[in-house]
Amino acid sequence: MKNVKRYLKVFQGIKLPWMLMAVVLALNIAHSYMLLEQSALTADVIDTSQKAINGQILIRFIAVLVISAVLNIATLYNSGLMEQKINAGVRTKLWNKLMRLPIRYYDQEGGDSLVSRVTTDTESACSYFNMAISTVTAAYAAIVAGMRMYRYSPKLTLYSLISIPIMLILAVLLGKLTFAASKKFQVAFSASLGYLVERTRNLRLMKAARMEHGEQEAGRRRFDRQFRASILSTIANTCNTALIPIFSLITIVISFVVGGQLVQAGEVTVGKLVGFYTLAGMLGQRTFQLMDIYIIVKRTNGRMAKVAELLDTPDETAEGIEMDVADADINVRDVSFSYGEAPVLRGLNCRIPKGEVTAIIGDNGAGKSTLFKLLERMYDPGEGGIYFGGTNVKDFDLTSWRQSLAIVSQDKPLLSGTVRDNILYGVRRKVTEEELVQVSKQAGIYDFIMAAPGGFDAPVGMGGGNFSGGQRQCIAIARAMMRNPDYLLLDEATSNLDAKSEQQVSQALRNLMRGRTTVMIAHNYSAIREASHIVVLRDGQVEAEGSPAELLETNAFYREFVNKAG
Amino acid sequence: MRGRTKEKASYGSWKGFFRLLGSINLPWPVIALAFLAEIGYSQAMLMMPGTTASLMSGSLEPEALRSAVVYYVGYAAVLFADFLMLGLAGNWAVRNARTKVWGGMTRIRVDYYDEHTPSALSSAVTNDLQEAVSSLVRLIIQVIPAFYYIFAAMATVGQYDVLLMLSVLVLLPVKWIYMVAVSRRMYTASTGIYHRIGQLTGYLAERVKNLPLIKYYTNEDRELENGSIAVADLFTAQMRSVKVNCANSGIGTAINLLQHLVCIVTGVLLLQAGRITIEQWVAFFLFSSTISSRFGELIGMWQSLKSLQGMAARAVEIVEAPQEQSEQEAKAVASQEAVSKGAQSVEFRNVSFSYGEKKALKNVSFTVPAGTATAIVGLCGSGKTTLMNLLERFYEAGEGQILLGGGDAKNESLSNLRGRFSYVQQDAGVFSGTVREILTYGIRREVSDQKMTEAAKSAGAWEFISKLPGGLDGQVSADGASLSGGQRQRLVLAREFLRNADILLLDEPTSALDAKTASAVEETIFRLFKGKTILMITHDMSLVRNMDQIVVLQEGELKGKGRYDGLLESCPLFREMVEMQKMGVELA
Repeated sequence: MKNVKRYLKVFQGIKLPWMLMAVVLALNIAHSYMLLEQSALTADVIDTSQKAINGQILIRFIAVLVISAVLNIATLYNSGLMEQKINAGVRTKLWNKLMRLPIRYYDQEGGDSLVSRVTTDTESACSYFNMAISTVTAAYAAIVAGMRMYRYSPKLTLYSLISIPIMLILAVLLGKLTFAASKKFQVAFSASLGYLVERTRNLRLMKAARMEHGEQEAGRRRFDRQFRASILSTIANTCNTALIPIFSLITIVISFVVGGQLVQAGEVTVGKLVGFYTLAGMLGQRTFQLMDIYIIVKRTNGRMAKVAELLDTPDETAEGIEMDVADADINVRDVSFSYGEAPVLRGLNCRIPKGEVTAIIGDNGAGKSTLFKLLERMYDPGEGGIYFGGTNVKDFDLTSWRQSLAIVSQDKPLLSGTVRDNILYGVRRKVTEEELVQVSKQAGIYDFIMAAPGGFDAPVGMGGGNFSGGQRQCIAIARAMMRNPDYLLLDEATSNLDAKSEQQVSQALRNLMRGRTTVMIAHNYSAIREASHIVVLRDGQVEAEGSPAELLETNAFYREFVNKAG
Repeated sequence: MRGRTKEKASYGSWKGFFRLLGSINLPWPVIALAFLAEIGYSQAMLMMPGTTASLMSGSLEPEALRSAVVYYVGYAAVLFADFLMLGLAGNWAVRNARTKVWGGMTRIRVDYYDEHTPSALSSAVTNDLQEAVSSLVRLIIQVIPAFYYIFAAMATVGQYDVLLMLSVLVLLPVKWIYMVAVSRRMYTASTGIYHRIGQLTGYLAERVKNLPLIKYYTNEDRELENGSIAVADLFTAQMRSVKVNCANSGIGTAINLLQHLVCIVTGVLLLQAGRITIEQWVAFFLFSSTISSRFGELIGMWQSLKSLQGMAARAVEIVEAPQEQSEQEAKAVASQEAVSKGAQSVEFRNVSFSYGEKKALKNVSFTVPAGTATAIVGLCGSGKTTLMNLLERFYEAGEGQILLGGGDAKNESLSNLRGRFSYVQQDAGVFSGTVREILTYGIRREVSDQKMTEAAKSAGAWEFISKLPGGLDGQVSADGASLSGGQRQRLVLAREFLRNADILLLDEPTSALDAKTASAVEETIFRLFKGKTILMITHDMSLVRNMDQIVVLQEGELKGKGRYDGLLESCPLFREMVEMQKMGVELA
């Protein structure tokens, strides 16, 4: 319960459709009342006329049928509306949260899992309210059915109470079986799915290694395991289905065996007995429904826990002083940092001189990317600080700090939309067509954009898949140019490109870098040839720092780095 | 609606259906048992009104009671057997089908894979097959018993009074028309809505995935607005789907209601006329609703046939796609080590090849002498990887000959041919499993731990293997993601070293690695595979300087071959490529 309270916090600050919920609840209750009426009428039909049918009762019966049908549809519509309103509310709240979320959260969680937070997990946000409504309805129907049963025959009602513990025990046992079976099935299922996904992604490896037969057998083993797991869950499902006739059996025995004697003793009428039987069936159904609720709550909690956790994450601290325009050196002072246990940066000191091109080189795991993440203020340094002029960058307004930077990484992310949307991404001012053309030319994208159908309005598919890697990178560079930043962070901007694309991207980058302070990470010398300041990282510390000429003399790593290029 | 789905050519044909039935060896005995159970279930359903009607109409004869109790015990047993057998038969058939289709998939020609995304392929074996085969089995088991139930129930009701039977019959055509015509329209409408919902969730997903971009461009406010619009649109689309559902079930409920009314009125009139007893009336009432629901089931099955055919078509397509080798052949070579013929020359003689319309190689000829190393250079799309594909015979060569050690490669069995190559891809291919499994993947002979350790040591992989919990039995996760690119590539090199094939094919083996790791891996390659015939695709012009031969390709044509210095003079394209990279060095 304590947990549920925590999950309910998800709904704080959302305008919940209380009126609609009340309407849905009322409709549900009315509908279940109509079902109860049906059974009462059946009893009346039998009692009033053993031989002929009373026309008035018949009309009432038909009326009840019609009203139930109408109520049913009304419930369907209104509960649909209610669910979607609640989901949309949670989704909007989550979306707002995502926009204020520290990027490091994204970094740790991974984009895909955040996506399922927004798309799938929010789908079950309405479950709590549905459940509350169906709990109230089921409880109401169960109580009314029980009361009516009591009114028909108190003795019979007491007898039928015997069936409740039996059914409860059966249901609990079955619930356990079902849970175990479905868990086992899930494990087997994801094992064979994972296997298939991995293999189909690289069938050439399988073929080159001539493992066709081996893989067929390996697949067979996994499908066999899945099959065996499915037998258990089939049995569990079958038992669940068989519960209903078992329950009918029990109620029939109680209603008619015990009830028959009561009729003979003149305590109950035959019609009431039949009515009792139907009511007992309804009571049983509602009891099952109430028992299911626990399982649904548990499942919903599982999904909401993740949403709740995300909503509980503190926002990025955005406020601070505005950036002043004057360029200054960036100084990294005694910065230590770790993602978890192992330290990544250890007392790192270096300088990024204004107006120059600084290259950061070092082995994998030396801390280059981490240093970038700190410069981007994705994370804050554990110890020490990064200073812009004399000010700790932490003190600047986050938005204005980020606005003064542009990042070009090897991911070259484009968003779906048009080419124009992508170039003007994040630009608030009005941009003239001339400026757009000029920037496109500088970034070397003008020609192929003009060749694309629609020019600047040519569509960009999801992830920019309709453009080549080099073209995507050049569009990303145009986007960075539009932003007109003072500082550039280039994270292997030319890697994973073929020679010709690399040359085009380099040309575009050169235009972008003109007149801006640039920091770059690169894995080969060709990319950093223009750097006037080099920082060599090793194991989270600065091994050497200085001009290329100095380092060529003093630093072995740099010398090797240069020599590699031939 | 925009979301019209494209269907395969075999859509709507029964042929594919029967072909699938023929090829997946269905578990007929289990299906037969399930069929019997289903008949039993129909029989039990038929008996239900008869046994319970007397109770429901108020008779309390001990005989009626006893038979009701006996009936329910029997009913529970039959229901249990039916469900169990149905589930068992379905899952059994799915398992058989899956094994068959996956087996086929392992042997299909590579050009088939090119036309399908990996996720489409794996879903063909998982979801589609599950759905298609289990529905198919259900169909086989349930159709006849459902008809049996409807006819028998009609006959029983007809025995009470023919008019009763007619009153049930009269609305069945209406129901049929409704289900076929209206629900098809509903289906189209809801497909459109789902398509729209898919688009909108896709939109949100894309933004979430690019959260860093949004942040770096400080575009949160605008995205906030866009997001709210998308959420609102999503709400509208989903409400449209709710409305369609409501309309759908509204009409359905109305028809059922009408059915009820017709039955009640007919029953009451007959009752008053004294033509039936009240017991018969109650029984009839119970029958009429079950008949109509089973009729609905039949129509549902009929409708599902369409989509079932579509799904089955994909499985059929895989099973029937051209295969490289038969199951027997694959099995036969499963335990055979490839015959090594020592380092051998590789010769391309006037080889041309095209992927469909697109020409990939045009009359290419060159020879890699035994035991030497040749680099293949060229821009993207110049046909470099196609050369490797043809060597491995992933595709049948169009024109010309490929000679290994002077003999036509065509004359060699596929398996033997592939056994003579070591193939190292750009982003190293390792499947998840233990280090031991990875190192011996595709190796038929027993490999001792000592050999594995030695190979790992010489490939520079031992350092991290020994740090894994379990050492050689340590787990490497899916796609080798728990290792770095360099570590994965070293594992691959150790594996290929153990494999000891005659000819080494390297497709940009170091391009995914950083400079230092790349040069270390290159060093390892040339040390480990010294004396082997090597073909290496590369972008790195500094690497090719020391190769025995360089082959330059441009748009499928051979533009030059020779050593570095010679090519600098004779091949303008090569010169340009070297200069471009140098210029990159100078400019960037």
